[in-house]
This record gives sequence, C-alpha cells and structure tokens, in this order.
Amino acid sequence: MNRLDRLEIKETKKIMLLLITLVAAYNLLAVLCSVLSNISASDAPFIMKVILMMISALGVVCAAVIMIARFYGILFTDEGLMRFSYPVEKNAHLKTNVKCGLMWLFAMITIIVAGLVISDAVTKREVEDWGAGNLYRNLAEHYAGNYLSAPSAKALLTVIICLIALAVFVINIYISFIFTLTMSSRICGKYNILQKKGVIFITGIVMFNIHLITVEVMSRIGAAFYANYDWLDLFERDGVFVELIDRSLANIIVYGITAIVMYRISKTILDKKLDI
Amino acid sequence: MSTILECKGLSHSYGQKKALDDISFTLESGRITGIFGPNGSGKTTLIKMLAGMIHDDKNAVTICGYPVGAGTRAVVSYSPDRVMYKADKQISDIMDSYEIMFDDFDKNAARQFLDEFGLDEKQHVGELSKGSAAKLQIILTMSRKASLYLLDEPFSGIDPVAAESIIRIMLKSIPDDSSLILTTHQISQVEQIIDEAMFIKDGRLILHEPVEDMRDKNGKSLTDAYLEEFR
Repeated sequence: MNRLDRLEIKETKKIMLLLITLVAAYNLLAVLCSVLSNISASDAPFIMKVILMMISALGVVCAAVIMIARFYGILFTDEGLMRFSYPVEKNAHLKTNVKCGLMWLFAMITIIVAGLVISDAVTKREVEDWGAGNLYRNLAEHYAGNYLSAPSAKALLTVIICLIALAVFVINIYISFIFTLTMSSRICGKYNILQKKGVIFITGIVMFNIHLITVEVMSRIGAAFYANYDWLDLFERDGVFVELIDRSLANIIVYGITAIVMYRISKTILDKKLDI
Repeated sequence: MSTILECKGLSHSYGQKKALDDISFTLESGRITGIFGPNGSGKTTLIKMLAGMIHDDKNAVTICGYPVGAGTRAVVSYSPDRVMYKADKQISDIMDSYEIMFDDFDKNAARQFLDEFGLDEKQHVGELSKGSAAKLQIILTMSRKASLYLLDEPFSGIDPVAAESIIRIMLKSIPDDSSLILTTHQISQVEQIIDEAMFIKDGRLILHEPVEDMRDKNGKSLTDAYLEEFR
C-alpha cells in the first residue's frame, strides 16, 4: 500500500467503519426479522426486513457520496489543492480515491449480499423463495428441472457472472461521478469559469444522458445475443440461463469499457496532457 | 555551493492573460531569495510552478537537476499564501498527514515549535487567529528537511511581532545547504535576512541581484530600489 493510500484510509476509516457497523447491524436485524417471520402469522417481520435491507443499502450510497465529495475537495478546494504538493504523481490522487472508494463500497455491498443470502436461507416463507439470496438454489433447481447437464455448476456460473456484472456496473457509476468532476475541473480551469457547481451540474446531465445511451446500447446488444443464441448451443438453449449470461456479459463489456475509457481520460486530464 | 534550481524560459498563461513571460534564473544552494513585485505580477504563479502545483509543459524548471514532478516535490517544501486547511481539522491530524507523506518531516521539531509559539496539537485550525495560523503553516513547512523552501506571502496580514516569530522559525530551521525563496510585500521586514532579490513586473523578471551588490553598487536599500522600479 503506498503512502497516499495509507493517508486516504486513515482519513476515511472512522466514518466508513461507523457506516459499515450500521450496515452490519441493520443486516443482522433483517436476519432476525426473517427468523421471526417463520413463527409469526403477520407480514410485519417480512415488511420490516425489506425496510431494514433498504436502509442498509443507503449505507452504500452514503459511502459513495463521502468518497466522491472527497474527490470534489481535491479538485475544487484549497485543502485539496495542497495535496498536489505531495510527492506523488498528480493522477495518484485519482487512483487512490477510486481504489479506496471502491474498497469501502464493496465491503458494504458484501455485507448486504451476505445478509440477503443468510436471511433468505433461514426463512421458510414461500414469498421469499425467489428472493435474491436464493438465486443460486432456484437457478440450480430450474436448470435441473429443464434437464441441463451440470445444473449446479451452471447455476454457480450464472450467479458469479451476474455478480461480476453488478460489480462492473457499480464501478462504472462511481467512475462516472469521478469523471464528471475531473472534466468539470478541466473546463473550469481552461475557460476560467468561476461557477464551478454550474459546470458540474451541466457535465453531470451530459454524463447521465451518455449513461442512458449506454443502457440502450447494452439492451440492444443483449437482445441481439438472445435472438441469436443458436451459436450458444453449449448452453443447451435454456432461456433463463442464456438470457442471464448474455445480458450480464453485455453489461460487463459495455460498462467495463466505458469505465476504463472514463478512468483513462480522467488520468490524462489530471496529468494536464489533454486540453478540452 | 551547487545549483539547486535552474529556470530557463518559463512561461505560463491563464487563458489569454500571460502570467509569466520567459523567466530565466538560477539559484545556488544555501541562499535566501526574495521575490518582489506588485499584486498580479506573477509571484504566486512562479512559486506554484516551482512547487509543481501548476503543470510546466516545457520542463523549463529543474530542481536538483530533475524536472519538476513527484520527485522534486519530495525535496521542495511549499507554504501557500494562506492556511489551506479546513477549520475543523486538528493540528495533530495535519502533522500526521505530513508524517505519512513526507519522509523528511520532523514531527518532534514541529512539536517543539508549536510549544515555543503557544500552539496546542489538539487545537483545530478554525480556533487559531490569523497570526497563529500563519505560524502553523510556517512550522509545518520548515519542519521538513527540504532542499528548497518556497514561502508564498508568509507575512500577509499579520502583525510585526508575529512576523518576527516567523522569521525566527525560518532562520532556526533552514539547513545550511538548503535554499529558500519567499514572496512578500513587507520588504523592510526581510531586507536584512535575504541574500538575493528578484523583481517581477507583468510576468517578466526585470531584476535578479544579490542584495549586497544592490547596496554597494547603487547605494540604495532594497526598499528604495523597489520603490524606484515600481512607482
């Protein structure tokens, strides 16, 4: 771990560990609600569990906001400007923020996913049979029911690819915000614009529209793969299996490439080699 | 004495406005240099470019033989023209950051200076007066064992007694073979401690001379020379 990473972790660990503790506590309560729902005739424990999981998901949003705000501070505040006197490459600040931000985000997402899996595993309610935590079990049963070979392995592969797609999507969203801030700082610096928040807002709108186009492209690619799944015979033409894999792979490719492109442009902007 | 800084044809513009125009000079080790000029003449831009905070496309500046970058920032200690830390930041946290990021930061020396000037590590930046905040900035900068110190307006808006304390910190902690560049409008306060003077006007370097030569050759004090040039 380099010294800038150490500094970033030192400065963020207090608030992040507090958030992680809260997220873990909410997930634990959600698991308890699942246990209660087994013995209670009322829907209240189930409803409580859903609310607790939604609140714990807010922890991920808070963590993202904190880390993105820190990057805003580096680019647009006096204290952040001082960081460019540190003995590191300028783009190291970008690398460190992305590394540490994603580390905290995925720590919380892991706790939430674990909470989902455990709470769905302990519940005996039929309505929760198709919960996210039971994805693997339900897929394995579905593939076995459709006479696919190695249904468990294929179910595991589907879950892993879906999780990777989700991770790539989260990374893309995070880097989009960082890219928006980097582009805004370059535009403000080049054209001497003092209304920084206005530029960030407009750049954010443009980025949001680019994301909509990306989602449309992804959907069309996914649909094209699904319509032409003949060449995917090795997956034995099971609808659910092929569609989940195709859409997830399309997601990984499209969001992965755009995240890499945005990261590289941000890195170049910070090195001041690119004039926009 | 060796050449610690070499600047050849340094220029920088903010949009259409030229902030620095073809500046060239060299600095030997062990020298204290004052940069003087009216507001907007380019002093702060020059300091920031030497500190590596503004990008120099043409590598016009070399420090200890290397172009300005991450490597030179390890041997250059920079103090901005105002305290840049958030009001809720504790002095101890800032010192911890310096300790992590700079190998040459002497935390014990910094603590001694803080004690000497009545500052407490547990204080927050927002609790400090302007003079105390200026002292803190100088303490942090001068507690590094750097090859080159860059102080931008260290006496800005502070009383003469606090200014004297800052000069004391500077002279006490600068190593013999290190150099120091400072910008200031308080010429009379620094005239006795600087070795060389640079005058900058509209982004151009119009004078770079040892202060003693200025007195011996022209019979003028630095203040008189400045007034004559910029009146």
